[in-house]
Amino acid sequence: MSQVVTPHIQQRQKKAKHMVSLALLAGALAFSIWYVKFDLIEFISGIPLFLNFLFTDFLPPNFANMDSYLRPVLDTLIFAVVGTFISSALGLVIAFLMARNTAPHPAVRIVLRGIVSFVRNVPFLVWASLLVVIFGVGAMPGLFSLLVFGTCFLARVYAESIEELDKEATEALEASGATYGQIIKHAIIPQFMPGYFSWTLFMFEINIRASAILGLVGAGGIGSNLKQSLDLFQYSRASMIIVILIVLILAVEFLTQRIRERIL
Amino acid sequence: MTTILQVEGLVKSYAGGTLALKGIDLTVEAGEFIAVIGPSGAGKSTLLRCINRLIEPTEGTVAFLGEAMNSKSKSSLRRWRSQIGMIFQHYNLVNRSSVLENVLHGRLGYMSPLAGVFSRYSEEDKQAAIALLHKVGLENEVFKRADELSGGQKQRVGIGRAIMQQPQLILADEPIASLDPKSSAVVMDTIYENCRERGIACLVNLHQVEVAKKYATRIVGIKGGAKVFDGSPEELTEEMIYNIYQGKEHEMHAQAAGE
Repeated sequence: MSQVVTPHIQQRQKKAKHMVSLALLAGALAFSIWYVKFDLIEFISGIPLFLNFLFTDFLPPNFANMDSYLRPVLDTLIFAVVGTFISSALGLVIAFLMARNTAPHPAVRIVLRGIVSFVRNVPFLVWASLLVVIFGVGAMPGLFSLLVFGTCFLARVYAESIEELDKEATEALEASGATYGQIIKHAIIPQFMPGYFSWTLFMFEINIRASAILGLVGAGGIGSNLKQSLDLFQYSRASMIIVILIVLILAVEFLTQRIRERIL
Repeated sequence: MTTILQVEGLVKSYAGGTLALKGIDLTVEAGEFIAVIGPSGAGKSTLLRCINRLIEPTEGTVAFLGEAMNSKSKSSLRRWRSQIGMIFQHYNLVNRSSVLENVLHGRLGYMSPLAGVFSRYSEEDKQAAIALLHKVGLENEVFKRADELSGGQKQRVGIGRAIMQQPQLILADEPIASLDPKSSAVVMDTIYENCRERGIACLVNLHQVEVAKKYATRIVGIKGGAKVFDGSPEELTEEMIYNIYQGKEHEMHAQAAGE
């Protein structure tokens, strides 16, 4: 039995749904403002204070002791490079095991998918904080957290791009009697190459940003210097570090963009 | 004549209860060029895919060179498939690999798994692949990437790949359905000549009756998952054609409909 609803009534129902959704949103907003005691006046009156702080304490950047930043910048870069390399290798293996069209067994796929999505949904700074507890303050927990997070992130996006590949070439090789390994090598990998490179380069950009703030939780890199100078009220040093960070990130983005243009 | 393929009582039902094949019997003798005709959705494609087990049949037996294929073992399935070439409607090439590599893929089924992974094709195979590309008129495209070719050229690469398997049987699933009339003629000629010269039996799905009549030594008509005709092209009367295509008459002459 199908109920015949005239277009007129359908439209009225649609309108009513819209109104209810709007009312709910407005209610949620009002409650939130009340709950956090958001004070617009305080915010606006804070702006001059902030500007004052920015121009008298923060700026100009302190260019003294430039060579003291060299080591942390290098650390940060190395974190990102090593992190990207290792997590792309590990992520690739996991991706093949968990992509629907290449998983050797459905059970493997489901188990890996569960683990990967759990790890990936814990923010990497939380991983870094936990690993600092285990390994102590220093560079290792930073690198490990990039690895853990990056591997799972890449496994997921690699697996998705493997699943999106067209199945026709795979079918042809299967029909000619090729083995699982041969199909992966000859049909999947060539088609997956563009996706692999673009996601890996993207991961590198994420890693550069991430490794810059790892220091905030004591996990090494240039972020450590930032936290230290903020803690010691050396604001002109802090602003110098931020300038270095911006230059570093822009340089890396420029570089990855060039690589992309070259190979894709 | 030796029997290449014997299909008996082939039934395929899909999850959800759709009955794609309702008990097909079919015998293919050496050197035959059989056209399987019928409207879309009749089960032609399912029939071909049940033969090389890209689709697992629900019931019935398929015997290839006198050997029934019941074994579930991967290595026997692999040996079975390596002796049956397949040509696809959408060519199914690895687009980012070279034409030569695509043709060499036909040898993978005969190589050790590891040698195949590392592309250790023998010198003989490489020479044969290049000779084959000359034969199908692609001598200038050997090192091009497959996605640089036109549809008709891609299909000739697909034919090369199937022949490269040195198969006893070639299954061609709507090889010209995505091609313009001119390329279609070239592709059908290429399939026909190569199969004849090498004595390869061929089972080709077509929906164009004229093409089927032009090439086939025997025609099999399929309708609603059942075989309704099996005989020489001369025996295929207008009446029978209308029976096969009943309700889908417009498909009989469809050319390059582009899906």
